[in-house]
Amino acid sequence: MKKIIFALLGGITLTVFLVGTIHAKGLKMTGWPYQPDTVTENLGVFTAQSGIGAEFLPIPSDSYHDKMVSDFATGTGFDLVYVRDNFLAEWASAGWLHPIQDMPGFDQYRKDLSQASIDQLSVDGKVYGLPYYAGMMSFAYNADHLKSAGISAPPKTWDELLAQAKKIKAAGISNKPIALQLKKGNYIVISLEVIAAGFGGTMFDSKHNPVFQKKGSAFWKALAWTRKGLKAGLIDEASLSSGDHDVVNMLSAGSHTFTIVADYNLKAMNDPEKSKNAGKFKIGLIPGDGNTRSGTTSYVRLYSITADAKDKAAAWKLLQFLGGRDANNEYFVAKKWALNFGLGFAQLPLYEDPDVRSSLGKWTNPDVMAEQSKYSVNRGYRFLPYFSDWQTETWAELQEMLMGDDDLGNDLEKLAVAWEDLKN
Amino acid sequence: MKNNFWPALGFLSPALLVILVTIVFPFGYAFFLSFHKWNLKYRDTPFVGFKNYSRILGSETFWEIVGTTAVFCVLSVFLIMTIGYLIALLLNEEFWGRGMLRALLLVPWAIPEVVNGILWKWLLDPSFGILNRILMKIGLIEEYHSWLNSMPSAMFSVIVAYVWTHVPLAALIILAGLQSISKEVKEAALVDGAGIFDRLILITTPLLRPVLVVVLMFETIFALKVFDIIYVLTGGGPGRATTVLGWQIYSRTFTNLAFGRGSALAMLLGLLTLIVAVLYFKYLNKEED
Repeated sequence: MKKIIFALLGGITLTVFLVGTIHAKGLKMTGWPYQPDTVTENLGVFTAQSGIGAEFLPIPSDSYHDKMVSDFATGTGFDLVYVRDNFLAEWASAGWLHPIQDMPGFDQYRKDLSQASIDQLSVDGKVYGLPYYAGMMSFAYNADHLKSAGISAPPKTWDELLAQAKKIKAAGISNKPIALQLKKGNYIVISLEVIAAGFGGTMFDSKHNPVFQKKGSAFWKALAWTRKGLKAGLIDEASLSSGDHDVVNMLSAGSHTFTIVADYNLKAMNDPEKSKNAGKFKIGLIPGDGNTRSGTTSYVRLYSITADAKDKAAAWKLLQFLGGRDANNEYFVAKKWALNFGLGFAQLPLYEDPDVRSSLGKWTNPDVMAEQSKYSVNRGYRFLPYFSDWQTETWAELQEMLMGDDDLGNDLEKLAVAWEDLKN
Repeated sequence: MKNNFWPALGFLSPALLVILVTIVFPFGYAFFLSFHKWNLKYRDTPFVGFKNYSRILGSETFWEIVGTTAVFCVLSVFLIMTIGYLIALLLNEEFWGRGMLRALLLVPWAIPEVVNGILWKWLLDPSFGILNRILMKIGLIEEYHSWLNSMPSAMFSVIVAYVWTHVPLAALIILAGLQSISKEVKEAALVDGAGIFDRLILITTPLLRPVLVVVLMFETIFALKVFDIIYVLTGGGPGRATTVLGWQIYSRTFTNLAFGRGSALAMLLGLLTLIVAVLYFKYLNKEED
């Protein structure tokens, strides 16, 4: 009897081990947990088309970068990872990502992507992935709030934005009409970059030398304007702990009027299943300063093959399925993101797709989006390997500057010195 | 007499192994790292001697953070000791429902710090937090306030959330001390005509001194190394308003991935904690002549 029991236990253990091993043989992918069920669904389609198993093991967004760096340093088990622009150069120069420009069939994507997109997927001339999604920051506002306050059109300048916010506050429509993403992290830097773009400039010049610390620079003006809005109670203080989900929720709840968000967020804000005020949100051009009509920042998020991926050929197949063409030669995944969730795309053929064109018109204004994209600024400095390190030093300092009354010059100068230290 | 050294070592070895693995090795390795420039993103990890320490001690930001930690520590410990002592005095008296109150007292302490933080984050939410609702209803504020995003409310919010979870332990330890004081002492004081405050200041507190010093020391150490509540409630913000040493160590080590400098910061915090403990024992716990 004992022998039978031990034999059974041994058999069960062996079975579990084998199943685990077989399960572990498929590709492993990680990223931040945006619509993980859809990602898993997509991977199921990939498996059906290619016969290669794949699973998605997401990591929370706020800790994604830090967890992945620890993972890379100890030898990652992931084959494919999501990458953002602000740490692409860091990971590529650390040797953690595998370049794909020499992979078979890559050249077809050179035709389907703009040079600007390819630049955002590249470091030192090597391409490190295919697009997950692309987009730009947009100005969103509650049209009903403006109508109730007797305002006929969204603001064209930053001063006009504060004036409209003041009017909306005085009318009792919203206590703190403007919600911005000023949370410590990539959020505060991106928000201030966008506002600076609206003031006609960027943080660094074309040679990646800091210009933000110069008195009267676009970034200086962006900080000063945001500080003014916070102190006047027109920009909600809660912005200092708000990221994209928070400002989307704040506007969807109807408590705020204006925000700056990634373009695809308007789909959620105008979705009756997700927003109490669906249908009221419109997109306008990000304000300018009178001399510059508008400005924005655009971005590409990518899928990359890790340097540690054991089966690069299989990983390349998965990468192409996700960011390129599937077995039916269609941009299946990119189109699905666009239609179902409003995510932007870098793949040029999708702009001609009738389903995509029709879908966009239901929750945003494609003409305004096209117009806004013309004002996108170049942020090549984000692709320097030390940008990520420098950026983490700025978060607390930028919040301190926004809350304080001191002259901005000293603190901005410290950040410029920190940049030069890292560069050298 | 037989030499018992080897058998004793044999019996002690499991415990020694645990101490070695969980305390000695991590401490020793962190100490080693603190003398190196060690960043997970870079392959080179050169020995830099005391450079990490000199850079930290020479930084204005570090002293600002020490100041913030001191403010948090002093205010939290003062509130914990005061409220804890008062609750212990109350629970030392006989009254109906005392048993239930003692049990309820444990609830905040039993909640994990992270859950406590999330709870307070909801209470203090600027859009739908109940605190704003109550204060607005009773007319103390005219509009909803963002407690965690402005100063000094962010620091006070963190202190209140922290004190709430630490008072029960302090109260229970002090209560145990109170219950060990002989009843005859109290009765003698009553017979001598000592009033309630006289008994508290001249009899009870001196007799309770060893217990109070232990509670004070532990609460000071806990407050010096606070992290969880800061992580959940404010993330050290707004700006650096609630950035304490515990948060800075985490930020430097796991956000900047500078393990060398993070370890140096941790060593400095450990040294500070040790100094505080020694001072407490030296000056507060000496026997009366």
